Amino acid sequence: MRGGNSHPLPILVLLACAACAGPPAGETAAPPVKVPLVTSSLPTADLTPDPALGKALREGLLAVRAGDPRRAVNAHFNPVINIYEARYRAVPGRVYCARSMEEAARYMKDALRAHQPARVVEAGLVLAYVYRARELMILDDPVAAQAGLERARVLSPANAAVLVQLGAAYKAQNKTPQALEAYQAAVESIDLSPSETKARETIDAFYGLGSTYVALGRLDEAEATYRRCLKVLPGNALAEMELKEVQRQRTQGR
Amino acid sequence: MMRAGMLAVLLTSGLVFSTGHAWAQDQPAAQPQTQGQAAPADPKKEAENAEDQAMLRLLQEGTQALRTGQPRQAIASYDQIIATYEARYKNRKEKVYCGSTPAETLAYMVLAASQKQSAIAVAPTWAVAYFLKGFAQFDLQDLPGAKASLERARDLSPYNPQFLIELANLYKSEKNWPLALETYQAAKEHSAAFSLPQAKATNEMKAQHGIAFVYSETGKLDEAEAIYKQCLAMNPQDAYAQHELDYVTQQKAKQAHVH
Repeated sequence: MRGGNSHPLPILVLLACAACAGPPAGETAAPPVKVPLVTSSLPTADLTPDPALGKALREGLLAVRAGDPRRAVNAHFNPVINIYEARYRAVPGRVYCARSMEEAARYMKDALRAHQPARVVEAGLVLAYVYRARELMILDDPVAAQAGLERARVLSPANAAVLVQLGAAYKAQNKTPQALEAYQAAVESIDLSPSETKARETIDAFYGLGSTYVALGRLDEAEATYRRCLKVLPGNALAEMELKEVQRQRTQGR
Repeated sequence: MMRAGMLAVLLTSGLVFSTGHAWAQDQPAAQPQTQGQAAPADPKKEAENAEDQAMLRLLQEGTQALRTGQPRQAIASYDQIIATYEARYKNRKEKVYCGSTPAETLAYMVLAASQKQSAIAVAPTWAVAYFLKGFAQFDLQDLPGAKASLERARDLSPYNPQFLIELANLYKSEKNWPLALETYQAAKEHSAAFSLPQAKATNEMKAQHGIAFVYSETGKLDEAEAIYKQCLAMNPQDAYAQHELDYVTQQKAKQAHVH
C-alpha cells in the first residue's frame, strides 16, 4: 500500500508539465494566470517513507490480526497518527499524502492552480487513518471513523481507499447522499491507485456506488455504474452479477 | 493470524466468485442422480437457481461489510445464507459436501463411495458463508463462535486447504498442538490437489510453516529445522521461515549448551 521512494527529479519535470497544463476537459477556460515565480511557494514532493512509523503501523496490523481492535487503535494507530500530525503541523502550506508519483503530481497540479504552497509526503498518515477507521467501525464507533477519514480525505483527496472506507462509514450511519458522493469520488480516483491495489479498489468503488444507487432505487444509474465497471474490468463476476440483479429488479418493477 | 488469512482469501483466491455459476445445480452423487442433469423447466430447480444467485450476492454483501469493518452486518448476511441452505438440505438423507473445484467435488464423491455412503456436492457458498462468518466472529473476539463456524466449514468441505489452514491457525492460537498439527498436515496433504491455482503455493507454504511451528513448540527442533530449510530452498525470500529457523537454531544451541 505505501507509496514509493523519494523522486525529486521526476517531480520537477511533472511540476513543469503541470504548470503548463490547461484546465481539464469539461472545465471552463479561465483567464491566463501567472504562476508565482517565488521558488519557495512551489509545491514540493518527497515520498520517502518513515521507517520507524512504518514499523509502528505494521505492529498495529499485528494487533489487528490478533483480533484486538482496541489495542490496535490505542496502542498503535493513534500514536502513529499523533506523531505524523505533529510533524506536518510544522510544515508551511498545505500537506498532501500520496501513494504514488502520479497521485503526487495530481496534488501538485491542484496546488499550483490554487497558487497554494504545498508539500506532498508519503501516505503513512493516511494509511493509519484508514486502518484505524476499520477498527473503529468494528468497535461500533462509525462517527470517529468518519471524522478520521474526512481528515484523511483532506490529505489525500484522490485516494480511492480512503474514499471507499469513507463511503462505508457514511453508509453505516445511513448518510446515503454523503456515501454516494464519496463513492463517486472513489470511482473518479481509481486511475491513481497503485497497481498492486488497483483491481480491488476499482471493484470496491464501483460496487459501493452501484449498491448505493440500488438502495436509492436509481436503477438506471446503477446499471450504468456496473457497465462502466465492466469496461474497466472486463468479465468481472461481481459486476456481471450485480448488473443481472439490477435488470431483474427493473423487470420486476414494471 | 486469522485476519491475515482472511485477506488472502478475499484478495487473492477469488474463492467467492470462482465457482458460483458452475455449481448452480447439485453435482452427481455417489449413486448417480438425475436431478442435476439438464432438465428443462423444472420450477423447483429454477427457484433454487435464483436462490443460489441471491445467496452469492449476499455473500458478496457480507464480504464488503467485513472488509470495511462491519462484522455484525457481515454475520447477518452469512446467517441468512446458512439458514437458507440448512433449510434446503435438512431433510436430505445423503451427506452434503460443498466443493470449490471439480477435483474437490469428485474427491468427496469418492470418499462417500468408499464409506458406502450416498452424498451430494453443492455450490461452495454455504461453506464459504461459515468460513467468513468465522472471520467476522474473530473480529468481534468471539473465539468459540469462530471455531464452531470454521469447524462447520471444514465439515462441509473437509479437503479445502484454506479452511483447514485457518482452522489449524485457530487451534494453534489455543495451543492445541495435536489438533493443530493434524489439521496443518491435512492442509498440506490436500493443498496440491485442491487449492485454487492462484492460492496453491501460498497454501502449501502456510501449511508447512504451521507444521514446523508446532514441531518447534513441542520440542521437535530437528523436524522443524528441516521444514524451514525446505521452505527456504523453495523460496529464499521466505522471511518467516528464516526468522523461525534462526529461533530454532538458537534453541538447539541452548540445548547443546545445557547438555
